[in-house]
Amino acid sequence: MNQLPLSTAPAIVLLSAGLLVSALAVVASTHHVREGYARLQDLELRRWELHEQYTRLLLEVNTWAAPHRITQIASETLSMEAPDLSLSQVIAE
Amino acid sequence: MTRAKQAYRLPRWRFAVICCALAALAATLMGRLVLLQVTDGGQGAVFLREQGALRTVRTAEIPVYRGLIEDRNGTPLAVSSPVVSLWANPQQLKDSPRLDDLAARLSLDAVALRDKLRFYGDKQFMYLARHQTPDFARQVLRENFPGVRGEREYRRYYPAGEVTAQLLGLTNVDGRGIAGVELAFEDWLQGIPGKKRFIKDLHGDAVRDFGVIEEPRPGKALALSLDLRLQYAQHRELQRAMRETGATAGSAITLDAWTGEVLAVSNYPVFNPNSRDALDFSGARNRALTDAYEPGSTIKTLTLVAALESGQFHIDSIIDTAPGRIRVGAKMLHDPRDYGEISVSKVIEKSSQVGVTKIAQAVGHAAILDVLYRFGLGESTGTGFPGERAGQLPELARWSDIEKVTLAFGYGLTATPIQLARAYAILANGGVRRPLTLLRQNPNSLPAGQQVIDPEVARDVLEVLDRVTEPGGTATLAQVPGFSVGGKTGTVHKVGVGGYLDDQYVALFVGVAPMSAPRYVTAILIDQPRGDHYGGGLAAAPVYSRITEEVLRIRNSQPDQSDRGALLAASGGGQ
Repeated sequence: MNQLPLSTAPAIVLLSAGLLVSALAVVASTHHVREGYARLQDLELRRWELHEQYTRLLLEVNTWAAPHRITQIASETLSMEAPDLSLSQVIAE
Repeated sequence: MTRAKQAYRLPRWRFAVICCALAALAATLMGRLVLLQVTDGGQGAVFLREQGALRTVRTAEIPVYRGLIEDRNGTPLAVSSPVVSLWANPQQLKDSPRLDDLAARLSLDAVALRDKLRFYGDKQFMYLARHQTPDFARQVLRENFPGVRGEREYRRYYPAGEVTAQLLGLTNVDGRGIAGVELAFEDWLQGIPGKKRFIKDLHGDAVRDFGVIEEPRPGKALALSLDLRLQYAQHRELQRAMRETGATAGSAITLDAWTGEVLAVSNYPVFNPNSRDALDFSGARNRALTDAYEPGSTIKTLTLVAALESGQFHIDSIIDTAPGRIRVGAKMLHDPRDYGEISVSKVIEKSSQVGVTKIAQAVGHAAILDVLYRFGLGESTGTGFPGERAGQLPELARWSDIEKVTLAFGYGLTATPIQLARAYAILANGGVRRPLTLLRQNPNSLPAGQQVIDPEVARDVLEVLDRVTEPGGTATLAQVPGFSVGGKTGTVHKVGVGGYLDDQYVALFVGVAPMSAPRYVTAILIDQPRGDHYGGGLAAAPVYSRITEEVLRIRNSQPDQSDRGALLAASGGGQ
C-alpha cells in the first residue's frame, strides 16, 4: 500500500480541529436560536398584553370622557352653563 | 488435527454461499434504507417526512384585530379588545372529578356542562365560555383543569353604547360585521389572520416553532363623518322629545350640505350594542335610513321649486286662496282659515292647502315629479348603508285629479328622513346635488356634484324657508337664538286599516341653518306623538331648534342674528 505523504498529517489535525469547532458552533447557534425563540415568544406575549392594556385604557378614557358625563359634571357639580349669546362677542371671522 | 480436517472438510462453496446470502441481506437492508431516507419513490423519504409532519406539525391561526372605527375627530367608536375564549377537549375533561369545581368557576350549570360534555364526548374541541376577560381566563387556566385551554380572540366594544348603536351596527361572535357600518365596510375593517407552523407535543402544546408562514394583517381603521359630540347632543335631544311627546319612534339626521357628510344620525327606540342578551331588533334599525314615510308638507318646498322654475310664479306672486277651501275631484281641501289673497311665499309659510293646490294645478304634476326626481327622491342617497331604502315615487299610468294635487303636498310618495335631508341639502348647497357619505371627506377632494336647479331658484326658496320660522310662519318654535334658520314643517296622517287614520300622525321638520351661509341640514321625524302637540310645528320644530343650537355651537358657526354678533361680524370682527 502507498503511504500517506508526511505533509498531510498537519492538514488532518487542522481539519479535525475545524470539524470540532464547527460542531461546537452548530451547538452554540442552536442554543442561540432557542434563546431567541424564547425571547420572541416572551415579546409576543408582552405585545398581546400591552395591546390588551391599551384597548382597556382606550375604553376607560372614553368612558370617563363621554360627552354626557362631562355635561353632567359641568352642569351639576360645577354649576356651569352655556354662555348667553348676549354675553358673547365674535372677535374674528 | 490434520486427520480430522481431512476426515470432514467443509466444501468451499458453502462458505461462499453463506457469505453471499449475508451480503445480500445486508444489501437489501441498505437498499431499503436508501429508498426510505434518500430517494423519493412512492413511499420514500418525502412521503415519510409528510406523514411525520402530519402527526406533529400544526398550523395555527394568528388572530388579528378588526379595524378601529372612529369619528371625524379621531374619537374611537368601535374598538376590538383582546379576550380569551376558554375551550375544552371533552375526551380529557368529561371524566374529571373537578367538573363541579370548573362549572362553579365559570358560573355554568354543572348538570348542563356534564350533558354537553357527554354530547361532544367523542370530539376533541368544545367551547366552554367565549370572550372572557384575559385576567379571568388566566386565573382559570392557572388551575390546570384537564383538557381546558384558552384561545385568544378579539371582541368588539362600542364606547358610546346606544348613542351610535344603530349606525355602527354589530359584529357576530366571530368578529364579522352583520349590520350597519360594520357590515357595509366589512372588507376594509376585517383583518386577515396570519398563519404559523409549530410542532406540537402529546398535549397539543407547542414545542417548536417553524415561524410565520403568513404575516397577520390587522384590519384598517375607518374614519366616519360623524361628530361624536354632536351625535351625543342629537341623541339626547331626540330621547328627550320621545319622552315628552310619548311617540312610538323617531329619527333625527344632520348633514353637512357642502360636503355631503352625515354628521349625526339618531333614532328611537335604541339598543345597547355591548350587551347581546336582550337584543331587540326593532331598536337595531337605523330608521333615518331604512324607514320610508309619506313626507307630507315638507315636499311643498319642492313644489315651490317647480313653481319658480315654471316661470309662472315668483315668491311675491299673489294667489287667491279665498274662501279657504277648494274642490278637487270628489274631495274638498281646507285651510285652517280663509287666508284671502296671499303671496306664494305666504302659501308656504302658512302651508296653505288651497294655495299649493292652485300652484300644483298651474305647473302640472309632471313638472313636480321631475323636481322630486332631481332632488333624489325614489333613489338611494349613496351612503351604502345596509338596508337603506330608496322610498317610492308614484308611477301611475293614469293620474286622477286628486293624485296630481296630493303629490304636491307630499302624499302618495314615500321618502326616508335622510332623503328629505338630502333634498334640503341641495337647496342649501346652491342647487348642487352631492352623494351623501358616512365617511370623513377631505374638503379639498370632494366628489363632483351635479347642478340640479338654478342657484337663483335655490336662493329664493331658502328665503321663503327663512320666513317659515319667523313670526307668522308655521314653525316659530324652530328658531335658534342668535341664528337665522329656515325650514318646513310636515304633519302626516298615518296609514292604517281602511286608509288614513284621523288620530295618528307623523310630525316632521326639515331645516337649514345658518341662513347667512346655509350649511347644516337637520331632518326630524316623530312617529305618533301623543296629545295635542302632534303637528310638525309643535312636536318636531322644537327638537330641531335644540339640536341645531348644538350643531351651530359645536361646529363653531358665527351668530348672524344677535344684534352684537351681527354688528361685529359686519364690521369685520372686534378687537
